[in-house]
Amino acid sequence: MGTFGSTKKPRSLADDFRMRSEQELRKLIEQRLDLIQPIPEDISALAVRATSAPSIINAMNSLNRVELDLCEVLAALPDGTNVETVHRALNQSDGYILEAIDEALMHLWQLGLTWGNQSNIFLVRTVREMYGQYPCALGPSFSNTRATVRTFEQQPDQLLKLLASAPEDAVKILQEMAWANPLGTYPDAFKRVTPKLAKTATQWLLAHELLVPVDDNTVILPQEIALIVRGFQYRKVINCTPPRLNTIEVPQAKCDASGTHSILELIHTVQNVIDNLGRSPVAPLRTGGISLKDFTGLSQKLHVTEKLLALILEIAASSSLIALDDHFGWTPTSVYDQWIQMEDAAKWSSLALTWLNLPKAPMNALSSTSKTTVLAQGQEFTEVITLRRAILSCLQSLDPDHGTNATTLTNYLQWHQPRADRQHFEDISAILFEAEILGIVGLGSLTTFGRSLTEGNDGIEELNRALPDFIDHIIVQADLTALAPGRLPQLERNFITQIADIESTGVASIYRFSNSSVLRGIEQGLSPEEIIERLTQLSRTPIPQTLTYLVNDIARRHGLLQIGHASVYLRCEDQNVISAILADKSLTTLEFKQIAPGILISGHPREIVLAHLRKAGYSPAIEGTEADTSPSTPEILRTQRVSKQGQIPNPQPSSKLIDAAISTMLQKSPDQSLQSQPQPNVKTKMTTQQTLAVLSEAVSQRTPVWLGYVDKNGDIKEFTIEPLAIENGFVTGFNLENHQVTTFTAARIVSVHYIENTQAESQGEAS
Amino acid sequence: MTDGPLIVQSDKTLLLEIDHELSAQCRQAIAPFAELERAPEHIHTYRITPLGLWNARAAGHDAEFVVNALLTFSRYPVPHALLVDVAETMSRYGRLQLHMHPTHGLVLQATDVNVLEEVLRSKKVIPLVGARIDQETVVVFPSERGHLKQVLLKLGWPAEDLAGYVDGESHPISLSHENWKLRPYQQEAVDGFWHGGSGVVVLPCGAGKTIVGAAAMATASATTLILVTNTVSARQWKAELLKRTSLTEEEIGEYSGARKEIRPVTIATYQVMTTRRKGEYQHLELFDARDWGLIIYDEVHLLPAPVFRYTADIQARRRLGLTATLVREDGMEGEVFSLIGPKRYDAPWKDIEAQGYIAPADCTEVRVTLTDKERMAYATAEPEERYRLASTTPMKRRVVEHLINKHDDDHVLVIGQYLDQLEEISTYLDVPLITGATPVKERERLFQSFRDGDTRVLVVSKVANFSVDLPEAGVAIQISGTFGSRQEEAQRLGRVLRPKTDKRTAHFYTVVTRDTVDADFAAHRQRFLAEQGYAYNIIDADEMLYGSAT
Repeated sequence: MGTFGSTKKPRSLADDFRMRSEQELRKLIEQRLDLIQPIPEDISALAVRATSAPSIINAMNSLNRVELDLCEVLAALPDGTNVETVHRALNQSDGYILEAIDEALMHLWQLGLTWGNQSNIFLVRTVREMYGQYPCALGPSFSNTRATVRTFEQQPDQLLKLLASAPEDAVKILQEMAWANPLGTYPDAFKRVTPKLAKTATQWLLAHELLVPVDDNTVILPQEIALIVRGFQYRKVINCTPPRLNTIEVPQAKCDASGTHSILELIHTVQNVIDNLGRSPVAPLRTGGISLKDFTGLSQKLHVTEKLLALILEIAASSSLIALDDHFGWTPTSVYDQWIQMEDAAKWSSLALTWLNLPKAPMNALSSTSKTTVLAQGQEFTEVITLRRAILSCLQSLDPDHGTNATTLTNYLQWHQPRADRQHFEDISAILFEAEILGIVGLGSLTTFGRSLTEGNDGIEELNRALPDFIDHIIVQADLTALAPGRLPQLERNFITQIADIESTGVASIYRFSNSSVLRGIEQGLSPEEIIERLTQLSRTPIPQTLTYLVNDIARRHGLLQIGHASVYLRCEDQNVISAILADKSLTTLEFKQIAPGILISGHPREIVLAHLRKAGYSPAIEGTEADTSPSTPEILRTQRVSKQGQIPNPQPSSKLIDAAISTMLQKSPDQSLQSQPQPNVKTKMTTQQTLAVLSEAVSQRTPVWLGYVDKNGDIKEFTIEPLAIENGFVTGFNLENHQVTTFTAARIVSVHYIENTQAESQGEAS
Repeated sequence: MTDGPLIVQSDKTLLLEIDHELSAQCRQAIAPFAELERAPEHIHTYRITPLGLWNARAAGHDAEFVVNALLTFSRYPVPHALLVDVAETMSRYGRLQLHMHPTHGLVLQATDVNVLEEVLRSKKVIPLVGARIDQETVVVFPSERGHLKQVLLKLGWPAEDLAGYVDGESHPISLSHENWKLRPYQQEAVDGFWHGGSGVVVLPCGAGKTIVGAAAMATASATTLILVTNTVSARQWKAELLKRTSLTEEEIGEYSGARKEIRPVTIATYQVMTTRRKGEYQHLELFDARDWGLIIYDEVHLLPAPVFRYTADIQARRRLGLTATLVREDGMEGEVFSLIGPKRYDAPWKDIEAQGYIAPADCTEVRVTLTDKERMAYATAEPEERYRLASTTPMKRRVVEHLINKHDDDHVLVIGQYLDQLEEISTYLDVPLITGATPVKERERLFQSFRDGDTRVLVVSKVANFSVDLPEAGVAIQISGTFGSRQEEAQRLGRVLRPKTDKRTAHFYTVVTRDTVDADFAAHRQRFLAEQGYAYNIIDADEMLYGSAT
């Protein structure tokens, strides 16, 4: 166990921060990320922020049982205490472990909840205030004001001797007040009594000045007395050992099998749900959420449980597979079109990664009494992300081939995060269930691919290894169902879902052909011949005649009525005029088509047609009522909007950003060799896509770039930055000129280019 | 991954590949707990339902048995959640039991006090139970035995009924095996029923449900009340019982609109049971008229609601339901389960057909096209008139005529819904017509003449759907149906499934009008048969009429 703090006694928290090494500051920031959002100007600002109540609460929420209890003990001890005193205050408590206390003290200092060093420990005032007047149920000190108290403090034996002769009730009262609550209610507290005249136990205690009257009705137990009664222990119990994480044996292969099963089913269901939204979007409530009626309706229609549906919708919205369209409501986006083309493992990876950062617990949202609406905005809470990560890291820490359950996890996490509320722990089983559905967890243990995901990878490779092989056939049956007895390749699956509805999913899938499903396929451009041919190729069994009839019947009915687009029609009873117009070369640009005797149509706007006709010497009269022929083909809707709903900044800022933040605060450049100014070589304006492409590359390679940037006043300014992150249309970079982290609006960057050559040159000169 | 015949889906459907070598073994293993939902030609779909699992528990199987069966035959890993759910659901059965207490009479006993506490808090349970005897036991009013079982099932804690049955008034009945024998599956059905106490036997039409009833009566050897759909069917039951059992004419009574005889074996019709006078179901008292030892419900899927209600009150008597299909158009399958009893025996139609006990059938859909004039009439008709218009097109008459001529050496039934259409066809073809209005005597005469071979073609309305035994009918032509009724389609197909003396294939034609609601309804009805393994062939009427002419 190392020591903490510098040998020199710091004067304040800011002073302490200044004395910390870069490594120590980095640790502080890594554990309290809110300190650099936004990045403070200097160390003093950092210290101010570190003592603000919200930040302190966040930091305390991350404390474990022993650290939190230790905070309270420190709050009860006077400022400037030392490590030895702390140990003395706890060494008789149940569960005391010296190393654990040392470690906890170290951590509190690292977190900036205390400052100073081993022999001068100061608890940050905000923390102290949070424990109120009587931390550890200890009353105030009276040694300065009361001589008797002072005497007892100096000679505790005297008190013990006195207590040996005290009335039994008095000792009881004293014990109770010493451990539970230093305040007691007693009428006529101020009435003076001598020890001899004391009739009751309380009077006896008051007479011996073991209790001090506060007002007419209240008495208090001085801290010094309480401590002697307690044997100088600040706590009865200090829970230094985390509860054991009980495990059950789960062979990895079984766990992975369970995971892949869930994943295949999930992907099918997601596709089914979103495809359905593409056909009939759901109108939102004012909050953006889906009304309970629509929601349960959708759940029943798609045979998806409400919990699963809630999870799918939230993930889909958060990963922009669906978005709120002003016109249609919740509708699939073009992102979904890309997603649908991905291979299964990639599809899963994108869903699972979204879930990891989803600021909601959809499955618990439904069961709780809070009546939250699915997809409603403003119901995000980032704690759930922390909890989710905590659960996954617990699972990660288990021995291989072992899993656990929600109850064990709850006990375990309650020790690690005692300040979280009860609701929070109710989420644990919901989160674990969600993780099982997403195939990150199988049978209570991390799947191989889930583990890869929690380790920061995409898990695609691992999942691809675990997924069952593709099958190359389906079985079509006379009851108009088709069974895919395993995993169909993407292309075939898309084809089937185009013409049939999913009835049951899992590793295998059952599809049902119905009038509406076949019609859907035909409307999407499949010909009946193509449908039959592809089905014949795909099916291991002959295509039943009933299906052939169904497809042909629907195709026949489909083409019966034809619809087209025409913006103008010409009507003329004289066929000669019609023929003349069709033959007129000057009018060929209008692309007239004769659809019936005496009727011509054109797709060009009325004004243009009119102008051309007049120019050609005709004088058409405009008919009073214009048939509105805007076609309404049943189309698959897509919204252009990609909603911001549910998107939250990545809670794990990159290490580069932390480095930059520290550099900023310490006023130090990350690379001293980059002092030379690049040549202000204003290149031609680039598009935002181009600039972003260059910048993303620069981010990944950590190369400095030169920026041409239009400021608020429209003036072009130049910056030399090392770009750190590109997010939501903003570019964050470390400004190499003033050593500040600056944020730029991507759209305003007019030009960008590398300054590698300059850098190389300057480095060459330096060496 | 193994190469098993079964695919277990997480939505609790089981897909069984029929052509797999282990499929028969697998079917045997899963049959006790999974309900067969569809049985088309290649893949059979079973579903695991709470009822099915509880049935398995009632039959003495435990969760381990179910899990083992799934794991043994599954091709892919079985979803863990499903296994957990199976175990959880199965453990719910039997925590509450109905017993006959020596001093307190009927009691509800719990092996798990918490469960008893939970159900006793339900408002629906409170009026059905009496005093609490101890922690685990509460008195149940004997009259509420059925209601309590219904309520507990809905609460998800099905009670195991171990209270037994009254023997009823004993009456010797035995089977008279004169040149016939109980078929193996019929014996299994009777055994299944008897061991279960009460319940439903599902057998396809033509598989001899009446004989199962007779055998059950012989096993019980007690006075029996038989409830059937109509008078004709009542007479047939009587005839069959006289032929198959030791019962004599005097021992069997008929309780119908025409006669009100109460004898040791009484056959009553649903119609008379539900006749109301001054708002009261007077004839329901028949249930109490004797100390019945067995009550048989024929065509249980048609059981009317008042009989259901009354059945709840007679839970101490053994009840046997017979049907070809548990599909109820009114969705009251759950009521059948809780009041008559669980399904005790079920055999896929195709299996029995394969064993040669019912005739193989060839199903054909003949599509007729409306003439332009008819199409105009159809297009402009009121929606409620459309079905009638579409299904009574004169074109169908020509198809019927053609088919009758085609099968000129077979017995043909023409079945329809609309009387004027039937009358027209009957007049046109000059064949007898039987409708609801035909007097019972006349009906019987015509049926007999059909059986004897004197009448080759009969035109019948839906009166002939059920329980009319016409073994010689080899061809059925359905010209209009009751909208989309699935069970009707099954019943009508059943008309031609009786095994033929010369083992010839039966034919079932359904004539539908293309591109109309008629075709939509037909598709709905046929789905049920396709699920039972009867695939339809579709032919075009024009092709059939003119194609064959040339």
